[in-house]
Amino acid sequence: MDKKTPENVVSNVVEINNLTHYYGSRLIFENLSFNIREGSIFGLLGKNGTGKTTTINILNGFLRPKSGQCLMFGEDSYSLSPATKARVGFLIEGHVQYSFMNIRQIERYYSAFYPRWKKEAYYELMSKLAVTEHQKLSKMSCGQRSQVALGLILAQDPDLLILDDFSMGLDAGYRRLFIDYLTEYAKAEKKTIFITSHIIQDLENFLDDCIILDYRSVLLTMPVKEFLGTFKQYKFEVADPSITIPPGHIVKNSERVKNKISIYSFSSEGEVTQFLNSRGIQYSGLHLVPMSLEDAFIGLTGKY
Amino acid sequence: MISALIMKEWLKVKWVTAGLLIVHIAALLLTYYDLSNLFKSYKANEVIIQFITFEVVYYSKLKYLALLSGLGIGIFQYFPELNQSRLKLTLHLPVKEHLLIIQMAATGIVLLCLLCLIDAVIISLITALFLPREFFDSMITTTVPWYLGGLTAYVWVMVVFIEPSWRKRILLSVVGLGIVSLFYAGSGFNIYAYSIWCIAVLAIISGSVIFLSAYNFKRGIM
Repeated sequence: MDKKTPENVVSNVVEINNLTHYYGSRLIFENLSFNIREGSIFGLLGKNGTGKTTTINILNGFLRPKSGQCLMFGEDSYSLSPATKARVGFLIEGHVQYSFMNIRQIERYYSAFYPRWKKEAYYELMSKLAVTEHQKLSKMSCGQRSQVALGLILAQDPDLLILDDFSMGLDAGYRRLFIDYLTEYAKAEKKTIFITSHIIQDLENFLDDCIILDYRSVLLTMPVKEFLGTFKQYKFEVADPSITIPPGHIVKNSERVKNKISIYSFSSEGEVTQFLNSRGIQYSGLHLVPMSLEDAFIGLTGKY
Repeated sequence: MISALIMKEWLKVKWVTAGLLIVHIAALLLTYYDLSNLFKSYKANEVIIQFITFEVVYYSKLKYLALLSGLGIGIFQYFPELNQSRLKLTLHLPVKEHLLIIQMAATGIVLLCLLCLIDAVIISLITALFLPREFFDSMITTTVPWYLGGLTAYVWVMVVFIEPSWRKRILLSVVGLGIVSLFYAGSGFNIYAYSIWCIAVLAIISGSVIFLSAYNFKRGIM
């Protein structure tokens, strides 16, 4: 058994314990629990309406949960001290910023609040955009505004970055630029990132850990490599096209197009074969299909 | 830090404040022009007797200016905060949240007070130029409720915009409208001579609702 020493103990930047929230009588999630390790990149994934933004709002203290505990740097997220807030960079869904300010004004504004402000990080990113210092944010494209928001967060030099759907409204180039900068920043500075996105493919080589939310519950919490290494898609053909395979212990999800069936499972090929035989299902051509993170996400959560 | 917060508020309201300043000055010039014409056309004692007999409020053009200014500054200051929940950006700053709310309100109130001060100083000079001292006293007790009405309207715009629940927003708008209308209920001059302190206390008490709306926003009550 490993002895824990101060060197190998990894502290959690965020600790969420048994969080439950309702909007009126509508349950959003129940007993949601997860931790975010210091220095890790953690993805909160889920379909629309599963509570991603709600979780982020609770984490930032903009929403009081019905029950449960949410700690950020050991403080209750609903009453964060100014010192802790200074350690957290927050990107609001849609890269919302003060659109009535120009590039220079907004940098000067935020620099007054953050002691570790790195002006050069902001202007380095701005130099890549075809904009002038006096251009208002309201006159910029969505992609350009996203870079302003990112530049401000990087200049703040936070220990934890919370990014709520950074990909919203961005084309592939800006999404790649965003991820490239974040990857470089996280690696070089050993920062913690908590991110949500509805474009899963962008996050495949970026995330360390992920949690996948379903409506009202958690489907999975594990490192992304482990998820991609253990979650498998098997395809085969059946003689009887009316066969349905309900989700259970072995099969997490299944899809059928005519007589071709795909099943998604954490089990090995042998276990799946045994399962199909035990059900008396006549099949042929069972084979493993390689999956991306997006395929695995859809496989686990379903298309609908 | 404070200067940065003031700069942000100023950027939102500078154009509407400039526009309101023009409106205030135009109203004051018109008041001066009307009075000057009256005193040129009639004898001074005739004008004064008419004013007293018919309770003429010769500065009536100023009556709703503070209200207009309170609404204008309030809407321009808080609509961008409501739009896309930008208030979250402000509340995420590493400053105690109640101080941020107070600072936002203070910036708007100071601007509004400056506009009212311009009105008060210039209308006092105009009064001193044409009319006896007694008119000055009644002018003060008549116009102060209007200024307080403008300040109260500003506070209620802030309350309504920050409140996250649409149902409560409608309710607060109705309550705010009712309270603000109390400041403009009377006609003639000196109407609030005996209740001016009550009016001032009403303005201050109703202003404290700001913190209730800010609290609701923070709790995410919809």
